[in-house]
Amino acid sequence: MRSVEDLIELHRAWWKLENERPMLNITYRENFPWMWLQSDHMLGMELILKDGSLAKDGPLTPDMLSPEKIHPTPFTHGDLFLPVMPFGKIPWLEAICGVTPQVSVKGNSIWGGFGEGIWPEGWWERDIEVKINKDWLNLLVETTKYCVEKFSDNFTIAQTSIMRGPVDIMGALVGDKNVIISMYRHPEETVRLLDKLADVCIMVMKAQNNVIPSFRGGHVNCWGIWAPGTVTRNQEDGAAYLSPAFYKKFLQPVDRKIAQAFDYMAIHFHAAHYVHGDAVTDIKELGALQYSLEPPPYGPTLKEWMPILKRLIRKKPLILQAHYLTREQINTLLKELPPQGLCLETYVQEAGESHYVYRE
Amino acid sequence: MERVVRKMADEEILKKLTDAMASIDYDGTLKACREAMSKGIPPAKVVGALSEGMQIIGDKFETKEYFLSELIMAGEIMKEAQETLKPHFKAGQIKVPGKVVMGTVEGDLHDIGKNIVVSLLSSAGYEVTDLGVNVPAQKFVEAVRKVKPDILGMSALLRATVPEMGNVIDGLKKAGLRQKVKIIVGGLPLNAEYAKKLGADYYAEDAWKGVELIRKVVEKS
Repeated sequence: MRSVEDLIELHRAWWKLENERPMLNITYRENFPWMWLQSDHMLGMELILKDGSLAKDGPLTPDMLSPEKIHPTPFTHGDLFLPVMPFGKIPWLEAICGVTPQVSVKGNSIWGGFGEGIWPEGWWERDIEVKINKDWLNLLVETTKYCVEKFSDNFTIAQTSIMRGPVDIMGALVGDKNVIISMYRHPEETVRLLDKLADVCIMVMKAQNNVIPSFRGGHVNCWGIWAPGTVTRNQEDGAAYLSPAFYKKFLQPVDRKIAQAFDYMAIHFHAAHYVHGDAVTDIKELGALQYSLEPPPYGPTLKEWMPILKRLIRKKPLILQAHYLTREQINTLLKELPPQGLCLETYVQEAGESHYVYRE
Repeated sequence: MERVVRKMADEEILKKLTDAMASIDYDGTLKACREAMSKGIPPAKVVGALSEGMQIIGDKFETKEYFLSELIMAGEIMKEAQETLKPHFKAGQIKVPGKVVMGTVEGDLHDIGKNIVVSLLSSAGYEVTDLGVNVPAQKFVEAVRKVKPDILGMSALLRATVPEMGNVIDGLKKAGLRQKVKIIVGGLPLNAEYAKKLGADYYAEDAWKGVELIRKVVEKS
């Protein structure tokens, strides 16, 4: 139990690349579910003592504790707050733009359509407007309000965890393949559509922020990171198909536009987006970059990642999420990357599921 | 002398075609195709020049100079180029190298890789039956029974849906069709070992390798 003030100061410094130690949320699960320890073992147990230090191995006596350090606070997980938010699996943005979500039990997913699009062929020749489905928008806002009313005593409240960005919404509207063809054949219309979709994203993000009260003078994003201003999260899964030149031409401007609308915008990328790290961190207004480090062949090996991450973390704070890393790999990341701007969230899994683990 | 000059001019057009294709130039490729036709260059030679361009694209994809976006657009250009060439082929000149059934397994809707393979094979003259996404095992079995393909290709991106490939293969075994078709699986959660465990014949690491592999397997059979 770290104090809220400690965490807030850590998070504040992290956004500025000034934190002296990395932000960690590492779950050791060799013996899961019987044992669930967290990253604090690196510094001590997750119990803050009267003198402000974390409890170390040994006896615990009442004089070591004080009410102001152990009173109930919003739940945390490692160095991060544990936010409550509207159900993230719903493709909210696609639904708000008129694409009916499809439940797939086998895929354990709710899809934003079937990848074929709902707009007719030749959309670029017609004056098609993005129609906002107010029922889905209202449901998202109502769910956010519900989270605030029911959970804000014990948790921080955040925007929904998955908000797909302009290129993904465009894929849901015109079909994934047609996004690429449109970029080649109808670049001007594509730029205009992406720009309109960026406006929709901003509107939906702000609609949620409007009902989330501020927490300690700021807000918490879906990863549980507090910031001293407005926050949001964006993602562009469809960028995984694109060349870096296309990312720069079509998506960097809309990601910049979304970043400009909030004080602290973090963008979610997958491992396959490793080629876009430089372009996205060139966006001055970007708050942070989050990479889900899926193992190869989804993306580079950890060894191949290192020079990329070292380069990027000098420009922007990085949130690195990996399921799963070995202790050795975690140690490598912590040793080779500077603490300033590093947030690492992972499970340690030494045994089993070997194909999930990074190959060198 | 006139023949030599003409040959040189033809080669220049074909080179232009290869270069336009290799640089993913939609308008340039189709313009060069039409020019070649108007000059009476045999369609087979035009297809050869396009294929050369495709090979350059494949090589650039392998070296990460090109990305999926380039492969997708290349497939589209090839499709359009084939449409331009079709009327110039005489009856019997168009050979179908093989028949392929493709689909993304049930529970998965990721189809970019599958679509690239479908598009590139179709433009190379293969008869491709694309079953689409979220395809139940029984639909694969029925398609194999009906189409009698040389190859069945299955794709998945989600780890959770990969076991579906095994269900399809079991379905084919039960229907007595397994030995009648070669099975190629592809998708990021897979590897050669996993593909073997599922009972597939081959594993394709990416869309481009999938196309190359299908070509080789069909040629061999």
